Amino acid sequence: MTIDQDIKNPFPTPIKPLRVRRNRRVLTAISSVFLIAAIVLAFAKLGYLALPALIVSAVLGIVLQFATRNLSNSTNLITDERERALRDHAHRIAYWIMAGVLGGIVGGTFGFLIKQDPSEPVMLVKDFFKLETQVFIFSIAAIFLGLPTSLIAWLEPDALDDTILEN
Amino acid sequence: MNSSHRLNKWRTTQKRSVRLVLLVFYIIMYAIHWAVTLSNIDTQIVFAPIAFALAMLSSFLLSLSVTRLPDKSDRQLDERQKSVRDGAYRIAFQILIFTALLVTLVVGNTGISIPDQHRNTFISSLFIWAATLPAAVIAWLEPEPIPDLES
Repeated sequence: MTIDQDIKNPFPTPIKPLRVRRNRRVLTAISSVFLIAAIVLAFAKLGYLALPALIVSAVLGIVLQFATRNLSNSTNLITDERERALRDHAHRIAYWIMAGVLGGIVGGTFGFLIKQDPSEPVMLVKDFFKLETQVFIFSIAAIFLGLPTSLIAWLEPDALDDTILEN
Repeated sequence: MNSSHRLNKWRTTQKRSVRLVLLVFYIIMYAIHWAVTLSNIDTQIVFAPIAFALAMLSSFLLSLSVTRLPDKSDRQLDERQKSVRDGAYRIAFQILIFTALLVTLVVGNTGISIPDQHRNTFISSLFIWAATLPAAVIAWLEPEPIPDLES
């Protein structure tokens, strides 16, 4: 591939409602609510309810991915300066959120188990292959994988109207 | 030349080779600390605190060598520095995600054994490692500084 070739983002321009920030924020909020619900239900050992909540959240996450044209995973080749700045800024915020959440999980686990017999292994999760545990792990993974996209969807201003540009 | 000026000069004229040496020191020290803490060797009680102290020292030196760029606010940086800092966070984010998922998959079912007396230092080292990871990325990516025009 030569540098002269015009490399474009393979993701299509989002449909009009998704170009409006308010709508994207509503979608982000709904997706987050479903994700939190999945975690809470998994904790409550209601795996059969947690799984649908996780699936709904994942579907909304994919919609957000299209709404932001997959900016969070785009390479420098298909982004301009403004998009790169937004993408990297979102990752910086996501990094500290993730570090805090992961730190809370690891610290909480060790703190909870600090009194257990030192010869016993520390279990980060129990019953690894149970539905609730799997939903919990995938929910945490979904938070981290979708966090930069959610932040971009939240921060990105309304897209300019094409008619303005054409005129 | 007073000591604070000398320290400032040392930070801003840091050669890439020095940063890379510090980066290798940082990686080795954390690897040794985690390996010693998670292993069940008899001499662990002596080596684990030493490895922890050296890992902390390596983090401190690495952070100094990149002029503590990842911790600075937007107001303290110019456009290029902001871009370098945020780009480093993006790569650090991907490293942290990959590590977290890998650890969950590998030890999720079996658990890990950490002696009681080393649990606090192990968690502390994880936190400090995560906090200094963007500095490590910058140490790797940042090119050789351009010589000061005044000197």
